[in-house]
Amino acid sequence: MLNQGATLDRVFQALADPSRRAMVERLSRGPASVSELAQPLDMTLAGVVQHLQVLEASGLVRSEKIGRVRTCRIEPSALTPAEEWIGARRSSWEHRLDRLGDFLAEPEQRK
Amino acid sequence: MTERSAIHDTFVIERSYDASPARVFAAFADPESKNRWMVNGDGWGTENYQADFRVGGYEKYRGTHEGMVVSMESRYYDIVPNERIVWAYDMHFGDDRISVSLTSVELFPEGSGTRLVFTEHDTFLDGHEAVGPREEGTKQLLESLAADLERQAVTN
Repeated sequence: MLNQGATLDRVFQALADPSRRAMVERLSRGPASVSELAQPLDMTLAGVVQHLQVLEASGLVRSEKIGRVRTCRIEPSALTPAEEWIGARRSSWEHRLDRLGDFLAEPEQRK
Repeated sequence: MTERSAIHDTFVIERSYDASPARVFAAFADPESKNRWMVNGDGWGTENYQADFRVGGYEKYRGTHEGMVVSMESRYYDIVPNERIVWAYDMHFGDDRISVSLTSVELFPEGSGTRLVFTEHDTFLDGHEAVGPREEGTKQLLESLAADLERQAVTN
């Protein structure tokens, strides 16, 4: 559990930055080289590599060097715990409002 | 050292109830009623719950969940009887403030019943309860990922 928490922290820290989100969005459409990732961003290659390191540490992205080109790809399974967390606050209110419905369906006892 | 982050999320839930707006409003306004459907229903060990339902009044909750002390403090900012309630609240797990939220409940007559629109804006802090990024880009990302995963499941 502690481990999963630590991973979640890293995933959300990774996603908290707009440049890194842009990189993940790009990679969700297919693998890309580092220079392809850098192209739409107003950023040096070194900056992109730094963001890439954060993304790799979170487990969201993997990269491998083939010849002289480093190719990055998304690791979809890394997002599963994050997706579960994303729905938690909403679903707790959905359950509460369902219980409100049960409560309102009870015959009125007072008045 | 705690790494700082703030992640924002907005969600809307709608429900229709076969009860008048006055009854639905009363279920929020009367602490005894709210205690029954909301506080006790969460399955948390409630240690303390008190509510002062008026503009500027506080609602306080303290309990335990999976061995962790959970506390919430709300303040009511707007109350229009049978129509609208707006409150803001923070939530702590132990000593960590995990979120600050702004919540509106709007009630609309619908036939003899009520349509309830629940809107919450959340700021999740420091990844303590990372419930968050419903921001459009990430939402699209997750949707496209879900589509990817489905495609992968089909091809595998």
